Amino acid sequence: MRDRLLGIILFAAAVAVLIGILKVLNWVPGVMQEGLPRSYRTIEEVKTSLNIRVIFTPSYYPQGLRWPPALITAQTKPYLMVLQEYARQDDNSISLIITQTAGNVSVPNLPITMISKTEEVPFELKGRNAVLEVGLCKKSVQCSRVSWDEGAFRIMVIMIAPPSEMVKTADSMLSGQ
Amino acid sequence: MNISSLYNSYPGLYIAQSFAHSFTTALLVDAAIRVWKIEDPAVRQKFRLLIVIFPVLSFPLYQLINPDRGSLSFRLGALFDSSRWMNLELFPGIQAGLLFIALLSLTTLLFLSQELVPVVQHALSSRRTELKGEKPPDDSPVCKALDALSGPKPEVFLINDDDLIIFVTTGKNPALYLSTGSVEALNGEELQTAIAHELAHIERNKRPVLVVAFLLRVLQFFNIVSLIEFRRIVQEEEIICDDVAVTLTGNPTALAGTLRKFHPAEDEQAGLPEAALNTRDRMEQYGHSLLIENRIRRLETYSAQMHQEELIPFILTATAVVVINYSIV
Repeated sequence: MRDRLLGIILFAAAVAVLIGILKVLNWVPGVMQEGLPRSYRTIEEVKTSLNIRVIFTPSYYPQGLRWPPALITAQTKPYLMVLQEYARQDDNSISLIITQTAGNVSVPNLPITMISKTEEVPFELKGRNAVLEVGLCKKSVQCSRVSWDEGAFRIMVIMIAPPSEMVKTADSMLSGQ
Repeated sequence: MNISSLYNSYPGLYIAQSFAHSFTTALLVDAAIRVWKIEDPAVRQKFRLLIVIFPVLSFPLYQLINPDRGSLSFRLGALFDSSRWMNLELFPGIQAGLLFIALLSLTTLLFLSQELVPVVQHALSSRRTELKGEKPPDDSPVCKALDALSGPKPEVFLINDDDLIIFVTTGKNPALYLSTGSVEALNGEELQTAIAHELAHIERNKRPVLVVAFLLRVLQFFNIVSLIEFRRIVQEEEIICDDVAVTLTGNPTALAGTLRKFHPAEDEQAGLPEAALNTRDRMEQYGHSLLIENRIRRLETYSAQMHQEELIPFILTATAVVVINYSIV
């Protein structure tokens, strides 16, 4: 019995050491190289930390979304990307995602993914050539996506909402431009 | 090639995560074997199977539980995010992910040349060549040794060859093949232990755990941890069969003597010309000799295994493996 208990304690210690090593290994790349993905509290913090002058955010939000964003992450390595995730007030689920990337690069998996596309329409968004896509996301809910090039950046907005709300939101991102 | 997009794709995520999962599983299993002083080779083999089997299934299993595991928000909260290392720029334009691809390619080459091609060649050649042997007379030392052992008996065939050869074919009709050279070289007790060891292989092949492990290992062809661990599982199999042979014969010393005759020490092979062996052969031979020496030493100091409690350590280890790896992306 004593041996068994000692074994369990030693094994728990070994697990704790392994977790510690993994945490250190996860921390090391961030020390070795600046600009790897990390979360930020505000958009202003991203701008000052990563020296990004313009970050596109909407001035119009559909009802039911919570401000500030539930998650803001940004990176400059291996490519520049700013990601904003907005949650709903009622169930905290992510309902709006905005990515701003340097060019058309592959972004990691997003909490909102369009599973089937029903419509794809090119349209003009304040003088930019944009593409509006409408389809179904997980749990068969309707979602819309708008993407366009903004100078050196590629902007993508995906939202669990009808296309009219999507276009209004995307349009408000360029209100100051 | 864009390394980031490769590691953001499902195949990339599978490869990176199964590699990381097998590595942490190997560390946890080794810790468990040391902490609980697991000396029974059959129990050790069960633990090691976890290292080969789990990483094959872990990624799809975790994705089923939580499809958002690949998202940036999950990664930021993870215990270990492999993409942080993959995207690390070692030199301008050269990411650490490239080195990882080089390691995967090297492992794949090793797997093909050391495991898959030899296995396929062996399967093809054994299909082409019919094994030729004669049934030994009833009063021969082979039949006497076999009769003294309990349990079902396979068919026995003698091959006319001076080299020391003993092996079994498994399947529906297992058979034992011995060369005349081994019958002459081994005394009665040694012959009995050698046959007992081969009978153990026949008996254990009825539950083809190793075949299943090999097939899963094939799916992890790129994974160096799986390659090493599968070899250790095969080595454990030999030790398990040694133990079965000792249980059947009660004579570990004779089995040690048999092994010594089949695999003479390296200094006794020193007569071979240097050029006859290349570096890889020498390394293989060295590793093989080391294993045989360990088996001989173990048999020479053999003490019957006490039954070891395996269930609680195994459950705890498997739980730690599943919980920790969930947070490794």
